[in-house]
Amino acid sequence: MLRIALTRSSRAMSIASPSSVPDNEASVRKIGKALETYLKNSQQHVAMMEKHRAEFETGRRHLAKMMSLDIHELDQEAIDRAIQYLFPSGLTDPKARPVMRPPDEVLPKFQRFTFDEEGKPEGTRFFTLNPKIYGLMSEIGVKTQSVMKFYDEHVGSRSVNKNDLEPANLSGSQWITADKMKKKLSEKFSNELYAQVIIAFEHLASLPGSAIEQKFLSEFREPMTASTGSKLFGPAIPEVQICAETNRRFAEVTTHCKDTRATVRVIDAGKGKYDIDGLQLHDFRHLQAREILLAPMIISQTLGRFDVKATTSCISNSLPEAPNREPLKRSGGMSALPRAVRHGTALCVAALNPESTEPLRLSGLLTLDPRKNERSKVNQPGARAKWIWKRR
Amino acid sequence: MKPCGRLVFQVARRMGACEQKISSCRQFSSEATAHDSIKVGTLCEMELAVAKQLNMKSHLPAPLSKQMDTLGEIVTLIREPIAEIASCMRVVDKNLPNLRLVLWGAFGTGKTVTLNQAVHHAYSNKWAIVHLRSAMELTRRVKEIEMSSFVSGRINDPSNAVAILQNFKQQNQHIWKILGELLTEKDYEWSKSERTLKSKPITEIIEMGISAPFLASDCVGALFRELRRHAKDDKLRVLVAIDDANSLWGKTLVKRADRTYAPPSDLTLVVHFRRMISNDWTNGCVLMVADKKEVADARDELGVSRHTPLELFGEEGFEFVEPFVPIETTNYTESETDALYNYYVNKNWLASKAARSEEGRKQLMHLSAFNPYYYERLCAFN
Repeated sequence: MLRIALTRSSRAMSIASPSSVPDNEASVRKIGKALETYLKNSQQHVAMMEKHRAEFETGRRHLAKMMSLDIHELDQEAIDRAIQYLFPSGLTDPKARPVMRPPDEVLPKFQRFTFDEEGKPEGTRFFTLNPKIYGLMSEIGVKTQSVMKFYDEHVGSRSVNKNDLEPANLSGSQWITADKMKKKLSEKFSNELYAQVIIAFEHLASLPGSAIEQKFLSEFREPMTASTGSKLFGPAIPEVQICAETNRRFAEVTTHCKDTRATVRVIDAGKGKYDIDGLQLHDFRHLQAREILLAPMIISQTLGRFDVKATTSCISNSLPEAPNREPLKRSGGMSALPRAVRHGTALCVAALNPESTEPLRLSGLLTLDPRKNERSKVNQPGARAKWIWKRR
Repeated sequence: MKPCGRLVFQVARRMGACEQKISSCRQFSSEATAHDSIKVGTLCEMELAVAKQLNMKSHLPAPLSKQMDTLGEIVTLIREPIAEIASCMRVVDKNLPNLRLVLWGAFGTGKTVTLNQAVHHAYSNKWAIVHLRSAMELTRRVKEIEMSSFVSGRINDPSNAVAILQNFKQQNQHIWKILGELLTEKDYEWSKSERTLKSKPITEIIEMGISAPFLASDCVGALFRELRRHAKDDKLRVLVAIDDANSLWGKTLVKRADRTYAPPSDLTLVVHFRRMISNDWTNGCVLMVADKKEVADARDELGVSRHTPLELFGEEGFEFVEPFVPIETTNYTESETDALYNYYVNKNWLASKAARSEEGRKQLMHLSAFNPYYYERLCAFN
């Protein structure tokens, strides 16, 4: 009886049509609350997704009409552009800005259970409600057993590598957090369970001979630095590339300062040459500008080693403006342009010469300066300044 | 008393050692007389007496003449352009029309210093020197004006004319005797009362101009005319060195009676100098500097304007000075900065510990962007 009910319910779920709900109601009720809730949630989720997909499609059609585009031309990129145009947002965090994306990308996913042919849930751990975490625990247990056995068999013998009989080397890293583990296993579990898993892991890692399970352990470890807040604000340190023609290492990054966007390419094994929009270093008349430009090299003590190529542009010129508004014609001046280039240069130098990353970071050259010119207010002469008040 | 005296002695001894070290890599002006002794990359010291005669204090760029005061000597680096100029001056001949050289280059790369080195080179080879500190003074710094009585419509500039004559007299003291033997070609009637007769020494023209400023502008013209004639006759060789020569075709700040600006071709002195530049005479060398201060906006702190001769001379000026030999001045190379760095360290001009370290040497080099002007400025503050 139970089996039949399960079969039916699983079929109902796989079809996932709301019409089949009342048909199965009687039989579902007999098989307990958990599964009933699960089936209900599943159907609700399917229905909700259907609704949102339809809504998205209608929205897309409306948007295409508003932007006077053909519906086929309106791909995701065009949608993003249209939203940026229709709802201009000054919010700094990109996540806080309005978006329009397919519901499958945006909405939370529903976790489904898998069932076998006969309608039984796959794996006996299904009934523990936390199959993945219990699976992990038993895996740790099995590995602990095998490590102990391996050590007992091979201790003192010369047939294995000596390093394999040591405990695993976990220096410089730590266990991943509960949140990350939940994401990794795509399953929710309580903190007690997490603590139990960590205890099991600790035990395994402390055993002599656990070095053979190094790979397994490091899957659940993360480097210490990543979690101590050393992540850079702004663009990350770029990857080092190798130029196919000259066979020289280089790194490239795009950054900005105030209203100036700069794409900087730093090339290793150079002469200390600068090329900023066709200008060389001696074209910068002020010592301040030259000092700013050379700061990363001075701090990393690599003067004359890197060539720098940079192109700059004005950010506000590339923003979507109302059609009748003239684009602003501003570009970086004596310090903003060199500072934009300096940030890019510092990131690239850190990539090409990793020993200098720490000094550069400590001197603040790897951090983006997010400050912008404050907009002037209506009815005021400037951003903060007020007209002189006068008693008539 | 005693320890103090010993200290002085020690310092003196150390200074002596320093000087020995420097002089080993430095030429003195007495050695530089011969044409072929110009060695690129060496430091050349000019004797102070000579520098005083050539009026280097006012002709050199201000930071360098200040440095001359501070260090008590004038040492410049021999670079490619002056070697090129020297080799050009060697081929000057009475059968060849005068050689026109245009020095051009970015800001602070040593155009004026090279010009002064060339003047010094001419001095050591006993040439006559016509040296103009800046052509811009003739067009933009005219204090008083007079209408010319010689050609109607021309504007005389007595104060600048007197300055030119005085400068000529001072700079040519080494050949003053030879100049005294050169005679005028014709009678010059300056005014109703003043005149210079035929077959009188041309130095009389100079004296006349200096003593009577209202005649000075015409005297300059007469002097230049006589110089050209005698150069053609191979009596002497003439170096005409004009700084900011493109200003002769630039804009002026001289106002006429109707309150419009006079074109440079209306200024007597400008006309005289243009005649000196034209290549209808022989046995001379005209060295011009194309400088961007004529066209560039000094208040524009970010813009970078062109500094090639065509842009600076303009169509008219370029056609006038063509054909010429362009000589480009460039930024320092690393070895050139090293030569100066060693000189400054030996003279204790670079005093701080940081500047004397290897890292300091590199930083000075790169922060100045290898530009001679910026390098001197940076070294003056370290």
